[in-house]
Amino acid sequence: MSAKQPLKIPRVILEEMTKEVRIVLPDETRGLFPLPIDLLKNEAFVRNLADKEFQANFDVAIISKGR
Amino acid sequence: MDEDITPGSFLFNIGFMLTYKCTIACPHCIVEAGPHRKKVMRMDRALSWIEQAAKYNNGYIKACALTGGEVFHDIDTLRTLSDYAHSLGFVVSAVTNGFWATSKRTAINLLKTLPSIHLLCVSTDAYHQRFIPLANIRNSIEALKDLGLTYSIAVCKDAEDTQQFRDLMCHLKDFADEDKIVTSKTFPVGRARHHLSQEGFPMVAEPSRAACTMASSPVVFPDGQVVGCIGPAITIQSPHKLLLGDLKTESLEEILQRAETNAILHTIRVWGPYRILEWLNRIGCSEKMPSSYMKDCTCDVCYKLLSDERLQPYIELLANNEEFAERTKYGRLYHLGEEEVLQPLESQHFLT
Repeated sequence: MSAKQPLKIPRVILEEMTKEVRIVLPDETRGLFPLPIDLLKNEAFVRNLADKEFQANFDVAIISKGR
Repeated sequence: MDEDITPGSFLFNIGFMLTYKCTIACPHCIVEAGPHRKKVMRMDRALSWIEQAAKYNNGYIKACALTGGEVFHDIDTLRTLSDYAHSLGFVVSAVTNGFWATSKRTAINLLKTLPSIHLLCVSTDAYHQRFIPLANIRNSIEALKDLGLTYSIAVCKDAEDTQQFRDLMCHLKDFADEDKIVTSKTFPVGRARHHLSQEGFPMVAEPSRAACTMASSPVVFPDGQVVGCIGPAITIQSPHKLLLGDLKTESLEEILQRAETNAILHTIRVWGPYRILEWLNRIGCSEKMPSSYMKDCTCDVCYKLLSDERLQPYIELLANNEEFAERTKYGRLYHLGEEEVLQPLESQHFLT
């Protein structure tokens, strides 16, 4: 997948989408399982993960997204 | 692995619904779990399916959630599967009602035998508390804190806040961090269809216009069915677009690759099911649309759309509509930053 051309949004559609507001309701999740979002923002935890590739990409994400 | 995968991305997490057995039978249980239920995921299948999930797209899926029923009902199975999932690189979470946390010491001792579970979600609410005292929840959370483990508390509430719900939230905040408590609304499917009055749900003419966050995480059931979310759609018996496939006849890779190009699923994630209603109106089936919806309930819009057998041929048409698929593709990129998973959509010519 890495060799593909970057997807570009046509200008007309992009203009439409900039006007859209994406809404997420706080009580909507069903709670039958959690998403470990906080855990994977925890640098110490990620360092101990078996997945070394994920660790490398975590570094990229921190740098590119300024987290 | 693509560098942009973040929590909330499609397939960041996958769920395994291991058992319908539970120590209790709550009146609001969506999967109708209980002590009388027998069906569990066979061990050989569970190991194979977890391995398939770990191998999917070179380790693209990062987290694995073990749920039920009550997964602590069979500790040996829970230990075997969580250890295996962890050994394959997954971040492992599990969900429990906390029945086993009869004291803090008991809870600590048990959790120490489950070292591969990184995050535990404890469910409690007015319905659970008929069977599991709040003391168990406190014991389990204090044990998790002592062990340095991450936790969350899932609280199901009725459509309108009750005094009982508000009291419970106050009690929980005595020993749990507020940001670890997540609430969800009961929905009249599963056992709740028989036990909860639908009159308590405020109805409105306009559907919720909110996006769905749970359809990013498919769930594998004991019989091999893979469903696109863990919400009310899991109770729909007839074929629909969130029923992603059957592991008895296909590999997980085949099912998930097809899901990557499922424009209905991704429209629900990007904008919400109301967007499908709008498109269905455009292609001329407005007279078949539901006349009312539960207030502020995205699941209700989705459930009404997918459970109405008359609408499924139109939804199938929409799924194969090139303009609809294109818009969904651009919506994923603009709103969710998901470009990396779009390649199959172009190569398969929208054959979803």
